[in-house]
Formats: sequence, C-alpha cells, structure tokens
Amino acid sequence: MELLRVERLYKAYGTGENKVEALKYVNLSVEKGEFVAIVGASGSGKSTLLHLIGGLDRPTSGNVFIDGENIYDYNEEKLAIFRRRKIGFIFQFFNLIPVLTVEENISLPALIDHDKVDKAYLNELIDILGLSNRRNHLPSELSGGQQQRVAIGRALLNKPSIILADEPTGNLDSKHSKDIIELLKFTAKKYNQTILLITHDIQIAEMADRIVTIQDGEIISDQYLQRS
Amino acid sequence: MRSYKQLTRKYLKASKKRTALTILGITLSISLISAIGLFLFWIQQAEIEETKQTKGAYHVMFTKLDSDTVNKVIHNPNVSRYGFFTIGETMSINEKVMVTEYIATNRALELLPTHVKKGRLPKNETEAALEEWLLKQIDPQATVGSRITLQHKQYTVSGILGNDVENQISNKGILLSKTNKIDETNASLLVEISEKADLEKTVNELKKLSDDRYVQLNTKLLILQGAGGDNEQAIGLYAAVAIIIGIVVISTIAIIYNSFQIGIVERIKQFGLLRAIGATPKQIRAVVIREATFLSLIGIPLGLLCGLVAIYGIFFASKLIANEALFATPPIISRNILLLSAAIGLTSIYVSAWLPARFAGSISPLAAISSRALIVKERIKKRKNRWISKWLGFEGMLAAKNMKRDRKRYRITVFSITISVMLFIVFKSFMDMAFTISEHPNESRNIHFSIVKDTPEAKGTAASISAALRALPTVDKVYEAYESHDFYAIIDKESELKAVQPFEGIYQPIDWPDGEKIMVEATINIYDSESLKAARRYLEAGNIDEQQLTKENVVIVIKNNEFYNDKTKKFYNGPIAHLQPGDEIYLEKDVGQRAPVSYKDAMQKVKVAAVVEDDPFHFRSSNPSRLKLITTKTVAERLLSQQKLQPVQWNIKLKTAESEKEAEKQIEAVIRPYPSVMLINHIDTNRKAKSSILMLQILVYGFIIVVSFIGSVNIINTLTTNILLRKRELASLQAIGLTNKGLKKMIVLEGVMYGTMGTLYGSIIGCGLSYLMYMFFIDVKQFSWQPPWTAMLIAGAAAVVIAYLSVLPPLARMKKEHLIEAIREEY
Repeated sequence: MELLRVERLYKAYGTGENKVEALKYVNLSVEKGEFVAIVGASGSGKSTLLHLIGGLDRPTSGNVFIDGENIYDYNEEKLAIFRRRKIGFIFQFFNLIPVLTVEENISLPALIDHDKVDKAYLNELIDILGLSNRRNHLPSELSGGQQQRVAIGRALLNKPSIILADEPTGNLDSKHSKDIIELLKFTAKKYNQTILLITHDIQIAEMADRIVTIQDGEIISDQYLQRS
Repeated sequence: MRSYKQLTRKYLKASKKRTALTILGITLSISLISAIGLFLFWIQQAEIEETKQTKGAYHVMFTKLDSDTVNKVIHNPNVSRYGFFTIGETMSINEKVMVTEYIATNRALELLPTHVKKGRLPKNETEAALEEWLLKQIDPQATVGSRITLQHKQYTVSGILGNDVENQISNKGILLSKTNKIDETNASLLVEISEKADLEKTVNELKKLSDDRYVQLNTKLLILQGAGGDNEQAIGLYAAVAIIIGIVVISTIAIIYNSFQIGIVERIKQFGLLRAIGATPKQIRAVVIREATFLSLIGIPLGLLCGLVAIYGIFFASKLIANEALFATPPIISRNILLLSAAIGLTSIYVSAWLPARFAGSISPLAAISSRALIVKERIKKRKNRWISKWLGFEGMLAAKNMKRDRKRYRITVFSITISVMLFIVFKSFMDMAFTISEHPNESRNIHFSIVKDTPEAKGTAASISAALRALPTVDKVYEAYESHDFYAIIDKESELKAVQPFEGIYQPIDWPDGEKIMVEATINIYDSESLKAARRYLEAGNIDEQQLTKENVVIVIKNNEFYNDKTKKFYNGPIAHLQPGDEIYLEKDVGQRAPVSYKDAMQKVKVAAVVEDDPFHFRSSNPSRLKLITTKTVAERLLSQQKLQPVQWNIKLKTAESEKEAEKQIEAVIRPYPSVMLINHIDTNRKAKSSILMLQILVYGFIIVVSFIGSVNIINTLTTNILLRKRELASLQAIGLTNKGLKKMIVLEGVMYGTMGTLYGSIIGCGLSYLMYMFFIDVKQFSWQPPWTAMLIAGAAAVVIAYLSVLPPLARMKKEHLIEAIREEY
C-alpha cells in the first residue's frame, strides 16, 4: 500500500546568477512499513527532499501526497497539525529543549497537541529506549547517544506514520549508531511505521530495505536490498 | 508538565538574569508612571487644601438672597455644606489696630478661608477665633481658653488662626464668631457642592438662581477641582505631563520589546524545533504572550509598590527637611491612578510583546535544522569604509561592517540607545524648564524676621535699631532695606533687545546730541554694605566694591526681569536691556507725571559697575517691567539730592532658625520703645518655600536617576545579547588568528559606534521634544528656548561609556569558554 508519493518535486534557492537548484523534478513512491535510506554527497539535495516531505518547507513546484492527501494544499496551521500527528522528526543535532527533562522532552508533541500523554505508552517508550533511569535528567546531563534516544522517543510519541531522520547517527560513534538504527527498526516494526533516513554511512544504509541515491538534486539509483 | 504552556515558566526560570532585567525594567517604568500620577494627584489635592485655607472651601457665595431662593439653594441635593455670614462691626483695639468681626451660622466658618493653628473654631456667640498677631495685640498673655474683652464684648478664645501677613501689615485683623440667628436676607450665603455631584453643572444651576451681581465664585478652587472651564495654563502643564508619560511609556515598550526580541532570537532554534514537531504559529505566539503575562504579574504590582514607596518617601523626606509637612495633606492614594498606571503598563507590555511574539510564530521550522535558513535571509551590503579602516584599523572596519550587517539588530540596538538618550534629555530639559518657571530662591528666603516701619517718615529709629539688633547674640546678619526710587533711564540704542521690542511702552526713543538713545523706566534699590556683600554671590560681570560704588556714581544692574504682558497674556522672563559693566546710563528722577525727558534736563550720569543675574533680595519696585538697579545709600542721596535716607525695614537673619522663640523675645525687647515698628516672622513661610523647591529638585533628580537607570538597563540588555548571539562567529575569528586584544577592540568599537549613532538620533528627537514641551511651558511663563546642550553632552557621554562597559562582561565570559566548543555551538 502506497503511503508516500512524491511528484515532480522541484526546489530552487535564490534567483538569477545565484540560483541553486537543490531538487530537480524528483519522483518517489514509498510503501507503508518500508525503511528507506537516502544517501548522497553533501549538497546533493537529500536534506531538502526530507524537509519537503515533512512539510518544513514548501517546494518551488511539485507535490507530496501522504495517505493520498497533498500536504501543500494545507495552510501553515494545518501543516503544523499534520506534522505533529503524521510525522516524527529526528535530527543530527538532537535539538532537545534544554530546559525540559527527558520525560518532558518526549511528551512535548502530545502537549503541543493539547492531548493527554498516554502514560502507559510513554513508559513503554522510555523502557524500550533504555532511558528509565534518566527520566528526570536534563539534556545537558546525557551522552550523545542518550540524547538521540530521547529525540527518537519524541518522534515516536504521537505514533506517526512516517519517521524522517536526518543523519541521526552523524554525531555518534559506530557502536551507538548501530544501536540507534536497530532501535529505530525495532520500533518501526512494532508500531508499523515507515522510515526515511538520510545517511552518509554506507553501513547504516545497508541496514535499510531500500537505498535511494541522490546526486545533484536527482535520484540516480533506487535499489531494494534482499534480506535473508 | 501538564501542558506545553508550561514551557513559558521553564524558559523564564532558565534565563533568570534576563527575566530579572526585564522585570526590573517593567518595575521601574510602572513605578515611574504611577509615581508621576500619584504625585500630581497629591499636589493637586494639597493645592486644593491650601486653596481652601487661603480662599475658602466654598464654591459659590451669594451676597444677597431672598428667603425663597435661600430655600432652593440649601435644599439642593448637591449642596453638602452651607452657612451664612455677615461682617459685623469693626472695633479698634488700640490707636493702630482694627479688628472686624465675622459672624457666621451653620458651617459657614468652615467654608471661610481660615486656618486654625491651635484650638478649634467657635461654637457659639461667646466664643471667638482670631489671628495670632491680633491676639497678641489684644492681650500678649492670652491663649486658647483665655477670656478677652473687645470694647463692650467678651469672648472666650476657642482657637488661634494662622497669621495673614497682609492683614498684619495693614493692621486690620479678623475675628470669627458664631451665631444661631442671622438675618438671612442681609447675610452672604456660602455653599459647598458635594464631591459626588457634577461640580460645573451644579455651579451653573446655582448661579441661575440669583442675579449675577450677587453671585461670587471661588474661581481658584473651581479651577483646581476641574470646573474652571478652559484654562490655558492648566492645559499647557497637562500637555507637558502627558508628553513625559508618553515618553516613559515608549521607553517601557522599548525595553520590553528589546528584552523579548532578544529572548526569542536566542531561542530561534528551539522555536524552530517546536514548529518542526508540529506547534502552530498561534501556539508559539501564545508561549511568548504568556511570558509577557507572567512578567506583568510580577513587575506591575512591584512597580506600583515602588511608586507608593516613592511617594511616601517624598512625604517623609519633606517632613525631615522642612520639619513639618510641606504639603497641606499627606499623600492621598488614588485607587484610580494606581489602576490607570497598571492599565498603561499592561497595555504597553502587551503591545511590546506582540511584535516579538509574531516574529516567534513566523520562525521557520527549518531554523531548528540548518542555519542555512537564517543565513539566506541576511542581506549583506557591500560597502567600503576606507576612512574607518584607516583610522580604526581592521577591527574598526569589521565593527562597522558588523553593525550594519543585520538591519533588524542594528535598528533594535540603535533604537534602544536612542530612547535612552532621548529620555534623559527630555527629563533634564523638563526639569530645567520647570525650575526656570518656578520662583528663584534668593537671600530674602534666608531672612527669619523683618522689622517694618509703619510709615517711612517715622524718624529717630534707624541707627539705634540697627546697632541694637546687630548686638543680639542670636542674630547673624541685619540687612537694612530702604524705600525704592523710580527714575527715567536713558540708555544706548545698542542696548535694546529684540525680544523686548514687541512689548509696548518699554522702550521710548529719545533724541540725544550724539544720536538716538532710548528711555526706559527704572527703579533703584538701595543696599547697605551687608546686602552688597550678599549680592556678590549673584555677580555675573564686573565687580561689587562698596568704596568704588560710592566714589564714582555707579550702579549695579539686575539682569533678569519678569513681568506679565497684558496683550500677549504671557509672562516675559529675561533682561529688559543688554547692559554691561562700563555702560553709561543717564538718570532723571521720575516724579510720577509722565513729563517728556530731554537731554537738556539736568541729568545725572551713572556707570554700570556690575551685573547680577537675579535679585539678590526681593526687589522693591512699583512695576515689574522697570529696569532694576542697585546702588549705595550715598550715591542714592546724591542722585536724589536728599540728605540722610532712612531704612524702612530691617531684615534679620538668625544664626540658627532653632533659636526662633528666643530671638523673637530679644527682638521684641529691642523694638518695644518704638511704637511705629512691628515684627514679622518669616520663618514658616520661608521654610515652606525653600523646602518646596528642594523637594521639587529631589523629585525630578529622582526621576532622572530612574530614567537613566531604565536607559542603562536597555543599552546593557541589547549590547550584551548582541555579542552572545555571535559567539560562534567571534570564536571563528579568534580561531583564524584574531588576538584577544583585537577582538576586544572590535567589540568595544562596535559598542561605541552604536552609542554614537544612538546619541545622534536621541539628541535630535530629544531636542524636538524639548522644544515641544517649551511650547507648552511658555503658556505658563515666557522664556527663551535653548537646545539642551548639557543634557545632550551628558547623555552622549553616558551612552558611549555604558555601551563600552556593557560589552566587557560578555567578552570576559567568552574568554572563559573553550574556543572549540563555541565554534561548534549551533546558532
């Protein structure tokens, strides 16, 4: 079942001489439950693609359909609500709110949604993420790997259908990186989620179901990995 | 945490320093606004109280009424107090002092201008209240409760009233007594209108009940209570106050806006993240607005409290300084003014938080992820400042470029410095103008007692009195004062002043052998040696040497005059003519008739020896628009061709005012042999006048300190954050080899450049506002406007120094941090 469809997505920054084409009419389709790794050199346009899919930015032209709905038809308000319910973001620099504790940082999406935090689910997440004894710590008191796990928890809280991860392991050593990806795979399976993950690291990419390679704003290869 | 809204509290807690600084700003502004409001209200109430004492508490007086109208008036539901009074017979106590009896019914005594110093108002026909000096004339031993006899009537003294100097000098006193029966048709009816009623409307209603000829209004009281119709002076003052409050409000907005804007710029990434994970712009705005609400909840009550403390501080300080309450009433705290101040404060807080809130709401979610989103927006102008790099080196050039790099930041910073500089200039020039239009204290304010002769002709007193007074142990100085003498003065055409020309009748051209000259009316006051010594303190040009003054027929010119012009309905304050030491003046005695003067008259030539700025003593003159001259007794005798001028008054300065009672007894003993002189005590009035000026100074200087403080907080806040926000960038500069010294130079230069720009704009706006206030002030009193140079200089220097000082702490903080960490830190 198709969850995400990207149609002729085009994005350019600047005008005239300074014009930079970040994405050139990209098409992509992702099935529900797929784990897609997006690889490419820096500046190839992979982050732009991810931002556009997540509704953080608007394209110059083209469309993104999620669950059959064109997200660029939404206004700012609706787009924000869409992000809050359908998308879970994970960033390279974990981007936790420094004044909030681990538990509060993870609960944030529900709080923004004026929703009561599902305590049982929150506890389950914290357990899975191995943060049980860090609940009341501030981000500054955590290691990089722990911070990233908090960010994953935050991304998962609203049970989004898509997780968008922009080099989530970029700041971690290889052992922690692997753990984080395993964790992501585990939770994705458990909660039936789709993952789009940007990475430089080919070892990380090979843990995915499918590798999409971008170069100069175009998809140059789209390859399914066979699992044994 | 139960809601994302609690983020607000967490942020405020996490950035305690800035929160405290913002609350401090809010508190200062609110306390300033409420203190100004409370103080004005208090002054107004005190003035009303004072007016009730000097002019009476009644609003309307009917001097003739028929009984029908009387009923209509006294049964008007809006009338709170009323009473009748008649002026009884005038009795003489001794050969000079007369006393008039005022007989009143109901509450008329309370409505008449009386000030009971001791005891109370009379309650029946056998009781009386009278002025202190008068009681002494009747019976020196009498006090409250004593029985006194006046011709055929006997009274018990129920109360002693404060002295009225005019009554005392004219030797006519007043005695108040009470009765129950009065012939209403032959008496005057005093009416006070209830506070709850519409004053103006009720006055007009009552006025219609009787013929205009028989109605008198207590105009001053009505004006003070806001029912005087259009009053130009009041409007002028209100406008000036409105400008001041407006400026305080603007500066409050500036501080709060700055503080919020900075707080948001610091957290762009965090807001971006909230947006990325799905917060709507509305929710982000709500977070910021909640911050504003929270700060108001703390800052506003605190500010109101400080305002109250300030008002009571002024009250107690005035009690300490003046030894008595300076104002007729203790502070009256109006709930409405407190509410209004809070409302003004709250509105300005929301207004100033709104723009940053909107900005926060519009932060792109991408801000959380890449710094590209921010860099793209920054349009850097390429400009070459060759002279800056030549003068201030590479660091200076970098500073100049940095300053203009981010238009928004540049504007906020310069705006906040501008506001601070402007605030200071406006307050300083407001104060200067307020002092210009208020009375200048002179040596007369230091006089404790005066001995006054009934008639200037009374002889045989002079030398002996002076000597006896000077010999008293309590007395410090005795100044002899003489009658003043009017002259026609012929001065050079060049001495004419443009500002004075429009006033009719001051300058009169006159033909003179060596060209046209002008004639002005002049008055000469005669100073004794002691007075001349005191006058030296007011010297502006030339010198005051008694011997030279006597030998050469010279005079001293008092520069400033102050008079009311009927035509323009305004006061003029300034010199009548431009006279300098060495100028010559021809004098001709003015005998009252306006005889045309010509050079053929036997005129006497005098030379200007010195110019003093203001009257060293109250100038005795028949007309305030006359040229004011001072000379010695010998010269005056020569000019008047008169022998042996006699002093008419002795002004006594005590060694200390505490010896008042003792001195009074000693002086009374000295003058007892001379029936034609009397003693007047100035201690109370002088103390009041002196301390009211002192209080005004304390008050305005207090305001200026608070205002400077607000301004400084503002500048510090902006510049500090300006640096902290660029930590990474500055660290990168260091990484590529900029020395600590160079970095400091660059940042300090940046601060100084901001300070200079802010001073420039602030001075321009401040001057404009100062002129605007001047336009309102000249309704009260005419004087010339000068650009507030001193204020501009002080503000400019202070802004630059504060700008310099406020970049030092963040620099020191940066030094402590590890370079690599600063570079990696994401902003």
